[in-house]
Amino acid sequence: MAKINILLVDDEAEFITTLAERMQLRNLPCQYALNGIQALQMVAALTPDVMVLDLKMPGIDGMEVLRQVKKKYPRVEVIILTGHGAEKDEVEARRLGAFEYLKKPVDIDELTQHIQQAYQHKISMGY
Amino acid sequence: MTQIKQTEIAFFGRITAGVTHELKNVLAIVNESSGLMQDLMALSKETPAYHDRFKKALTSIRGQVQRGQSLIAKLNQFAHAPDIAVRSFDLSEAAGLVVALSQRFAALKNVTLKVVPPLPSDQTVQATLNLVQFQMALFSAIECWLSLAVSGNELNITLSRKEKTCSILLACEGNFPAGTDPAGGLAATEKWPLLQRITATLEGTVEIDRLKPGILLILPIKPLIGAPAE
Repeated sequence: MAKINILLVDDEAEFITTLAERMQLRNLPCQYALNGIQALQMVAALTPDVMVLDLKMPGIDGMEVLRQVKKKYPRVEVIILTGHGAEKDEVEARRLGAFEYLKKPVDIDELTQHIQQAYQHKISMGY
Repeated sequence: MTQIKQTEIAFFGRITAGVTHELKNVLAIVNESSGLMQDLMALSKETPAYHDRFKKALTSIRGQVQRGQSLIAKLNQFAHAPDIAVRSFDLSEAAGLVVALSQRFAALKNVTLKVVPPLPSDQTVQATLNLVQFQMALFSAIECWLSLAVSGNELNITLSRKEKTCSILLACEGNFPAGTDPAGGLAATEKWPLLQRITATLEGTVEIDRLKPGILLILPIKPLIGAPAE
């Protein structure tokens, strides 16, 4: 399996560290950021293949992070993982280029499957 | 509904919706933590003491997370009802939500509550009404029945469309104590005057069907907002 560079972004530290640990157990090591600013800095430094991004975060929210990432680093595939399931947010996220829109809590196998698909999509686009 | 009353309901809805989002995060952490425990147990080469008991407890946690997720999704949908005072919505879907949120009240009386049969997706009934008032009307009608129903009864809700109106029949099936007149008792229930008042506000009518026995709500189906009048 190709090594996928994954960045998880969520302000719920307990959630994101546990998720990262579970991904590691599945041979999918992840970096994580706890807010929007940190996420943008880490995207610039790491240029991840796939970013799993929460929407509701203090400071720069997930939608703004998505907007900036897709503008500066269009090769980064973004999967939204949020507890905020408003239909208009999903429409907006997809319009901005999100690869997938998932709602919390998500099954880890489902999430890893979407991450693999996002990575394959990136490869197929010649990135 | 007065402007201040509308604002109060919207405030209540907004706070509730915000809390449901937080609860989703709580469930997500419970889900991941129990998942991690399952992962570690699966990786463990030794069989720890109480392995089967742990496994059973974790399965129970994950089941309850799913149950909580479903309830929170419904509560969130309900909390967003006052966002717009009058809107176009699918009556069958809205009735389904009220029925889902009323299950606890029915279960306390051991009464089965359901929408029968669910309308096929190509036969949706769209209406332009105050959604909160519609939900209140249907819930009040359910409460009228639940105050009379006895253990083992079935409260079936049927929606049908007739030209420019929608009929919602709440029929209660099963045995009632000997000598009681459930149809006659409906109008004497505590919630009946409220049901009449809300139905009138919706420009509809409410009557008692003595044969079923049932409560029949007839509501107008107004043109969709933004759509040309029929």
